[in-house]
Amino acid sequence: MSVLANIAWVQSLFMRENTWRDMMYYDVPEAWHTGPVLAEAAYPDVLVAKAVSDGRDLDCSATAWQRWK
Amino acid sequence: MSEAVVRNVNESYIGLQPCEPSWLYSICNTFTLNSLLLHHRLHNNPAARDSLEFVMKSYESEFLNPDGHYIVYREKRGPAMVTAPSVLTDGYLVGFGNAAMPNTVQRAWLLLRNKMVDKGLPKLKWPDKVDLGNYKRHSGFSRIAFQVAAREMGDYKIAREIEGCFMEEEQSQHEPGAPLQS
Repeated sequence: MSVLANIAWVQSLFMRENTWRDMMYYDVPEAWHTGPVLAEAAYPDVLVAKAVSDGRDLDCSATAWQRWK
Repeated sequence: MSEAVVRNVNESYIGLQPCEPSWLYSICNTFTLNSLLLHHRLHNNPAARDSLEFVMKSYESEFLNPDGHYIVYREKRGPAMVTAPSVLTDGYLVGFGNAAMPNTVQRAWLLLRNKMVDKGLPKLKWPDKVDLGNYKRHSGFSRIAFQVAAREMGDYKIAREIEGCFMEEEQSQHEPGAPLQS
């Protein structure tokens, strides 16, 4: 399958009921506006798996990527 | 960017933007719908609202068959290209058209679910055997479109079943000697 198909496949796994409808009609949670954010990461050396704010803290996990030699 | 979308919509005879030189695809124009909808909500832009109404009306009058299935594509000044009802097109329309056109896509979902589940998985025909990423023959994209539709409609049981079948099928194709999917 193509790269686009693989992306569509992974994207579909994140979907729940009314994902697109909610994205179009509703704002993101207030905590995401006020909480700390991950400003930058040196892609591709740092691969961010998760960065979720609850308004005060940032729950973040990342890994270092080893280049193939 | 929204100004460009509005301009393209206004210049279009039917309202949808061509993404091949002169072909209007119903799947691709869900991006037109959603970008106009979002822009209007955030900026209360009358031009975006008018264009959105034009595109929505066009989907209903020009891209929806009497049987409730969506037309895959049309020539921008000509007739619709006749194809069999497409799982790929209906699935993506359900997934990405749910924000702007919930009434028609929910009907399309009921028809699609009936076709795909209640009556058993049909043998997929062209254009459901095209991978939109590389235009090669592969029915995977259609399965993914069905999965997208099931999840957007909250039909998780069906989504999990499709996911399981799909993973099994993909893995079997990577075993040595497994036949290629035609």
